[in-house]
Amino acid sequence: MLLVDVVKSWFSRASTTKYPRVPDKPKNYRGKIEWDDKKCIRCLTCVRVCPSYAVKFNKKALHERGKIEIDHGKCIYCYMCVEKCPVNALIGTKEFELATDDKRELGSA
Amino acid sequence: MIQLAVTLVSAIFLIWLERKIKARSQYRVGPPIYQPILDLAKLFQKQNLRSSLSNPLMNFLPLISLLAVALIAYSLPLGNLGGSIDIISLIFLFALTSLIYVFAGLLSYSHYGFVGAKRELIQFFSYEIPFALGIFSVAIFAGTIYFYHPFPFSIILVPSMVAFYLAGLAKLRRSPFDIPNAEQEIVSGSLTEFSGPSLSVFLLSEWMEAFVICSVFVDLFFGFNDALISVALSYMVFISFILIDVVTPRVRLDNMINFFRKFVIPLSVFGVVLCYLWTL
Amino acid sequence: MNMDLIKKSPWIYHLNTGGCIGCDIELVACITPKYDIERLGCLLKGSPRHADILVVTGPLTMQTRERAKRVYDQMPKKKVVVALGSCGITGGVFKEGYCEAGPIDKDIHVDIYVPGCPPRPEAIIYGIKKALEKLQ
Repeated sequence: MLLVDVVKSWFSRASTTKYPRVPDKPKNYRGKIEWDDKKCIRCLTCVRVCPSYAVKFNKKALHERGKIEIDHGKCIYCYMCVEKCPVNALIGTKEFELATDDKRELGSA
Repeated sequence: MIQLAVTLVSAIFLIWLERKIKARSQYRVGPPIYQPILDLAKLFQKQNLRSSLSNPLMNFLPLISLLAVALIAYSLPLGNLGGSIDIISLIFLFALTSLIYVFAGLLSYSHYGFVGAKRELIQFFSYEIPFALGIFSVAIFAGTIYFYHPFPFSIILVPSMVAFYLAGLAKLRRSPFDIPNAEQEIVSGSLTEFSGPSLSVFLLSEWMEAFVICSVFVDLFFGFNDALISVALSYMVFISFILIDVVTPRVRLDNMINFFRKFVIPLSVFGVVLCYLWTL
Repeated sequence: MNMDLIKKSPWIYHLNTGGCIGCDIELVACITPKYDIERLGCLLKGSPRHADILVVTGPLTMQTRERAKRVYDQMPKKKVVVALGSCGITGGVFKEGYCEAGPIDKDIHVDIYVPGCPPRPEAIIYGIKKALEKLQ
């Protein structure tokens, strides 16, 4: 009977995570993407492969050397750019606490 | 006066208990114990918006509902603390709390309000007869219409007791008969257009009604002269309401009408006739 | 002291303005036993007049533009708006579609943006926490 299961559940442990008080470290998760300047060879594969046009190449930044900018508001976290980079200059982190009140922090217009 | 204080404290405690028991039955952690008070207090700080098509009298209805429930709570016999109400006024005040819910839905001029009011009215016609006949059968059995002391248990009253229990479950709008606020999972029934302080007064009167019905049930059918035992028994009656709520799904409106018409109303009529024949 | 009470019992209204329902599934996953937000006092309410936080998912479409504005006007004072998912921030994958009217902050003032496609339930809880701090 359902009542037996209901009463049994009162004496079992709840299966709730303790998230806001205890920080959460996921094992496999596609979070924010970081760019490593020294390894990048400026081949622009990531720009070509991104399905939602979130990766952009800024020619004039960093004293005319060029900077890869990722718009985290457009990114869909598919990690195609991370997979296809030949030198592993784009690194995926597991950071998911990205909520903000200013769009420019995420790189959007 | 002390009965009113007990009702207020018990109302908030019982609502927390309901949310906690439903949460623990689903393997969740529920809200902390001070959560209902925080909900009511937060609602007082919000704006009281009203759509331009609705009637301005809409904001007075929660006060009338709270007054009706508080009147019953003030004059309820709790054990050896005497009551001061007669059975006719009791039935009138209980009907008033339900009809205020219907009026609230109608005056708020929204589709969800109309549908919620219509469903509550149909449910009212089903449960009011066993509710009133249950009270009448106790009056006939005890020979008095004054409700000054709790009435003790007697085997003759068992059919009326079962009918009154099911009618109480329908009156409190709990599963399996929670059709008027079925939309609360989706939209909100009669309470859709209320916001801010009106909503919090309405919620408080609903919560107090829960304790008052359980207390009346205990006092009518198995009353003890001790106040603490009466209050503890009404808590247990409410916990049985919660358990039925947790395991049953919601029934359709015509299924509910059939159930009441074919089983509960004949049972309550049988209870009244049995009590009358016993007193002859 | 005044706004502390909304922080302790925020009521949420969920509005989908036309996206895929990925973010909606993650928002409703917040009330499942694993990430229970009822222990923090949050409830998912059915009527915008009862709610404090408006959570909007999906990009704005031509049909839902005025309706989203109407829902925003129906909420009583001291309200916050949270835009959930990449579609709310920039239009996301639907950006060049035939019925899209742009990101959400074209019509409603948005307070907090939560990126992700879809964002994790923990990220949603973090976003709601930041939105409540903005109320002060």
